[in-house]
Amino acid sequence: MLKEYQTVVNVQGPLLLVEGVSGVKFQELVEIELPSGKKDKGQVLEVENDKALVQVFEGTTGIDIPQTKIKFLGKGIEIPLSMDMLGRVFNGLGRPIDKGAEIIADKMADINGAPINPYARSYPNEFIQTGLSAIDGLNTLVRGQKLPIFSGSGLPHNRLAAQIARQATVLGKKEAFAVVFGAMGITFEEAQFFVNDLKKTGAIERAVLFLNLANDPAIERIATPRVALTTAEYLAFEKDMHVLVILTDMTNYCEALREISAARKEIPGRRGYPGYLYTDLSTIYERAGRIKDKKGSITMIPILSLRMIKRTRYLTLPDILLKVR
Amino acid sequence: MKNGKIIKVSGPLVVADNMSGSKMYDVVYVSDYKLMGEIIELSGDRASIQVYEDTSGIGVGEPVYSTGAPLSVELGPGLIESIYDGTQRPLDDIREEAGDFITRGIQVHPLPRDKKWDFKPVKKKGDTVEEGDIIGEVKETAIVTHKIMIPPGMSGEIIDIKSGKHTIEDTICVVQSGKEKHEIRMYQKWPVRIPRPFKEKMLPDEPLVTGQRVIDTFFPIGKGGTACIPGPFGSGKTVTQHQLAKWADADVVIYVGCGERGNEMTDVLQEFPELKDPKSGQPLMKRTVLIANTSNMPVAAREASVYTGITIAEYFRDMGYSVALMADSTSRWAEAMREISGRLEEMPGEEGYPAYLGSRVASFYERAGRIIALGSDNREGALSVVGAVSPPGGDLSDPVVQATLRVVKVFWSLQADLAYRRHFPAISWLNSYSLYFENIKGVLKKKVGEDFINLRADAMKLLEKEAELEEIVRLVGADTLSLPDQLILEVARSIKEDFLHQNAFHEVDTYTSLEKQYLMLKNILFFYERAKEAISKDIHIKTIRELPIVEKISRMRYITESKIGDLKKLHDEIDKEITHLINK
Repeated sequence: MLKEYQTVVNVQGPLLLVEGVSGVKFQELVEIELPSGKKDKGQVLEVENDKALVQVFEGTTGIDIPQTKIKFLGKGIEIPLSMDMLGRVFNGLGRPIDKGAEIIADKMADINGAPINPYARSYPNEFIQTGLSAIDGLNTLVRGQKLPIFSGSGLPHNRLAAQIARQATVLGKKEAFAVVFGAMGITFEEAQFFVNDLKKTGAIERAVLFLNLANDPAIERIATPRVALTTAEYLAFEKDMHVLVILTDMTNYCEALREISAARKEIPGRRGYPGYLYTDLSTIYERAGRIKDKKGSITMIPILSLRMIKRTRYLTLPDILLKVR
Repeated sequence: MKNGKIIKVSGPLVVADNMSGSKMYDVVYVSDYKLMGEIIELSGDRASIQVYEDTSGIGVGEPVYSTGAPLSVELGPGLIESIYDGTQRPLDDIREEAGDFITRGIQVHPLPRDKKWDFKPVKKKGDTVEEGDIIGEVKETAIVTHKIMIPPGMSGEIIDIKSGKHTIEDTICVVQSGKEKHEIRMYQKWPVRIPRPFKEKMLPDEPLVTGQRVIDTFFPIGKGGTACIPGPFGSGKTVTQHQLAKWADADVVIYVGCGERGNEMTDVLQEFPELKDPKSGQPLMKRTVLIANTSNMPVAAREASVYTGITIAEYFRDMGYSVALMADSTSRWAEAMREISGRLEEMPGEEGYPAYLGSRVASFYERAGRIIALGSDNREGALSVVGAVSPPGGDLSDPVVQATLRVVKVFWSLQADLAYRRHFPAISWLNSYSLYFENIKGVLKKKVGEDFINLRADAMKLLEKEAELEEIVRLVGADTLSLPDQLILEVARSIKEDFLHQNAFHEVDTYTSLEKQYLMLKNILFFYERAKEAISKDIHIKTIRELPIVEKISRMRYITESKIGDLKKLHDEIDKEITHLINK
């Protein structure tokens, strides 16, 4: 039986401070029961003596100090994986929101994944034809790489990404192909555009969608790209599929990270973003790739909208990390 | 040994109490997963530990095991051709043990324990040896002969020495000093944060030939020197680093991929075994040690990776080799320091970087140098360090760039606009500098040619003059310039396109020997001299530009090293064609 604590001492922004706990682990999954009976999910950010700092994914609205109950679940955030996920729609934490049945897990996996051993990587060299001359001719997309789209408000980056998802093929080969779509803080319309586009071409049958829309809790976005990539890794390296992961909009992800960092009163790096932004982003971007002796691959198209299109922006620093190759 | 207890976990930082008796920078194992960590702060019996692996699932109350020893690397046969992570764990062995992904708490030996090496002693029983003396050799690869040295701090008389096939753990030699007997094995351990000792440091006096024309001719680095390549993204830092790792005339190359992309390391791993060393004809991998801490691997190990790299480099330097260390990129290393510093809640300096950034960077580069190694034979070794820096937005006022420029002697300034124009290597000839030129001038004169120094100065003058003229051209157009000035533009273009520009992916062009560089530059400048004469005889620049020789000059770079005589013939052809033009 898991212990339940009713010892919240502080709620601030997306963070909860719980006292008098024991045996809590770093990055452990937390279940929070609100006075209203609603259950939210959270994650341990820091443990110190008998105190635990918890980030609440679904926002802290409705949480009070005397009545809120906290349960530490003794494991990291895991999602169930199965081939049945293809064609389904999930929220940013991986729970179905298309009124369909729960996923029966073929395998449970921690969303943080593990770094690919550089020695096990195989160099991306299979050319993907996207049919867009500006990409194919000058900035070729290769299987297992990342091709970021830097954009701004009002520019058609979604159309471009959808077009790539629709048209991308490796010449002269018939292979299992899947699209994993991770939406972070984009509007319903933008998300619907992708859904419709995938439906139109029938690609929805081979797509898994994770939607965290603009009005969904901002902190949930921290988990969304990881959930999407864990699914992609499963499809690519266990089910031998070629997976195209579209992540939009990474700027919103970074802002959620900044929000937590600010709430923790951390010393900021540049532009208020935390000093570990680079490391954090790389744990997402570096999950793209190919592995020796495995058939599948993960190709990633993250989309970033820059508030002002300016290359010196701090955000571009970690992002160019995924430049070509 | 007494065990500590965890009281706080925050990302890669773990705080434990009951740690009295530990020393700064001691290695500890955290929790029963045995995650490797290093003590970076002590206060009372409390220790802050940076953990080299992912800390998810670690909680308060779990044990911390001290080892009482600082982070060390194993130095011995088996280093060459290895690929290590930031704490010297071989990645190929990790793959064998844990599969394609790096999981936690894996412990593997840095050097193979079961492999037998053929040890050939060079000393015999009864010889007196001092620290650093070479007692024997192991042919490690076709290129590198691994010299077994007496570890620092030991000396005495050899009372037993073996030969033949042994593993690195076998005792191969026993040294007696007074009543004490030291058993010597083929490997030794050395803490990474302490520079290995040497007898004396000297100024670099010889160029490190890299085969890259813009570097060797204009901004050379000395053997034992330091250089930095800052540049914006996409300007070719990594390609330049790879070129140096491939072609630098060092005996051993250490390549540290620090916080960069995984696919880049794969690139190195696939390419190096296929490329041939221009001197020995053997695969380049046979003189290379790779250290890879890609950006998604734990951040604390990234901080350690540059130290791991330089300690291995110093070890080979001590054998009397010329070693080159490439670190790509030191910005990631500095960011790792920043991250840990932030977690420790230290007062930040510029842009959140810790206040000790400058001193850490300086003491890292200071480990480079040309030295006389320990040992009675006074052998000379050199360690050159080339660090890439990736400042955000290519902004050179970035604290990491500034801290680096204060200590390095060579600055190769990569420019985004050159890269956009597809001029590679995108090293700016106007902004870069090398402070080694005075030191190595003598050697260049003797090895390459008496007039090489002057040629270089003349070419530089033309390039500087061109930059001035460009201003006028932008305002009023090239045709308004006087004919001699138009000729300067033409020759400067030739220097830029036919000499400075170099294609890293072309079989022949990728490497140019010093002799060929000299002849190429000589031809271009000879052409300038003769053309100037022709212009003074009222021959129009257009006529000169149409000479077939201009085309031949632009193809000089594709002449293979074995046909270097063709360049000398070209010299005569230039003379003939222009004389013909003047006499017509």
